[in-house]
Amino acid sequence: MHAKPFSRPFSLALLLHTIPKANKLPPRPKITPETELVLKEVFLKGGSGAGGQKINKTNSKVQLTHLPTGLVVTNQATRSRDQNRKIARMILAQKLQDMESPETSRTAVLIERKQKIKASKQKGSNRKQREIEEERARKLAVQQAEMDRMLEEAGLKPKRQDEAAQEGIGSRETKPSGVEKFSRGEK
Amino acid sequence: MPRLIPQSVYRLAAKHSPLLPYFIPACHNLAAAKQELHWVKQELPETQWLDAARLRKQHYPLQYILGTQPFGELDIRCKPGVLIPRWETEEWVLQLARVLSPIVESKQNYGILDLCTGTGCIPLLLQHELGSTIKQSKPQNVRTIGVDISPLAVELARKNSQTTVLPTQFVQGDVFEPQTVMASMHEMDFRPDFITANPPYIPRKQFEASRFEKSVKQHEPELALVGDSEFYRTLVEKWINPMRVQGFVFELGEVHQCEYTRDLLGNDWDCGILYDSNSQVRCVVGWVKGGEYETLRGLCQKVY
Repeated sequence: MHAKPFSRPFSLALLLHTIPKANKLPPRPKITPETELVLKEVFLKGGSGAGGQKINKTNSKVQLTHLPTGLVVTNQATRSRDQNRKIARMILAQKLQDMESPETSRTAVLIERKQKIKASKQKGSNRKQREIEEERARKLAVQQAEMDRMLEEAGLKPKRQDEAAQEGIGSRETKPSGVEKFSRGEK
Repeated sequence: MPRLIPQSVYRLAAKHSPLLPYFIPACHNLAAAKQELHWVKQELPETQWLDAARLRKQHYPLQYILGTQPFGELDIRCKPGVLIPRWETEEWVLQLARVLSPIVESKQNYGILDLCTGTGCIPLLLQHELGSTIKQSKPQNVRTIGVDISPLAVELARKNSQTTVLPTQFVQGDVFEPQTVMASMHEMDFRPDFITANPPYIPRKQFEASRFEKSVKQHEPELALVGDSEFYRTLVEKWINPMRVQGFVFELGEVHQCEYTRDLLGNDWDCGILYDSNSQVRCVVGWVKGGEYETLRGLCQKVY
């Protein structure tokens, strides 16, 4: 068991190296003061015209429009209008960056990172699966040998697996149950 | 605003979550109800969800259930008996802070007085926006004081200044009886340069009308809601004029309250109307002609 990591010195370590750390990702793009000038901000209220002390609203939806591109972002994630305005600006800034530089934008980096993590996880789980199967095959071989020995001791000639299979239902009892399970699992 | 909500909405809501139908009467639609339920689940422990839902079904204000209302970057505590801060107020206070900022910076000391303060949201947010923070290590040159007639409001406002860690002070007093408040301000060595106020401004007739919003009428204090021109008269005659303040912003809800205030001001004053982003009349803004508060003009969509 201890020796295992040395048997594949490159695979995992190399792959992990190329996944950027969560705290080393490119920064979130911000709305520059120049962009702020070409934004149209609307607070969507809904309901009747009255307001102020007469109405007690719990939500506040912010809608931002980037006039040059026509991109629209709305946000009402939190109860705070201040927060919603900040979040809407963050989303809009990201969308603008995605439009301007689709290959190098933060979103592109994030997607690539996600894919790499998934691939690395898949690789890990493939390896685990392989180990389980190897372990199972080894146990089966031991069982088979044991069975053969017992049959021999009882004075019967052990049958080969393929012969047993050809004989059909009748011979099933003599077959170790593990064999059937394993062959089914392999399909 | 009595509006019939179809049964299908309740059925749809029940499918989503057994608690959701409770939120429909106050929210009117599924999306808003889902959002409120989400906030309740986010901010309260699970044992309180059902009680919260039951209260909300009675149009009990969500802010009283959750205990806070975000106001600018601050979280203002809310309690029954004290008016919940409105987004319209938040909006004009932030606009005002931007206009006052250069004036405040040029002064050694600057005092802002807020009347009918309620939770204290206005002076607290102004203090937050204009005052220097501990990080800047500049001496604090802004002082803000809030006044309210309700002891309950003053108590809550003081708690709010503690939780927001802002040095705003609060005095209990009646705007119609300025003498006692002025005496305690004198004791505190405070002189206001600017006055803000959000007095009760809903005319009695509107408040009594059957279509008036239930959540407000049944659960928020009438003391903080019902009022009219008399407040603007006392604000101008008993506060602005004797204290020789050069500028003010008063929140209001009716055009006639604006005109009434304008007519009370002397010839040396200019004044205008600030509209909120829902295009409703929201504030009357006044400044002494040719003075340092000419920049307040920028807040007004209409200047008399």
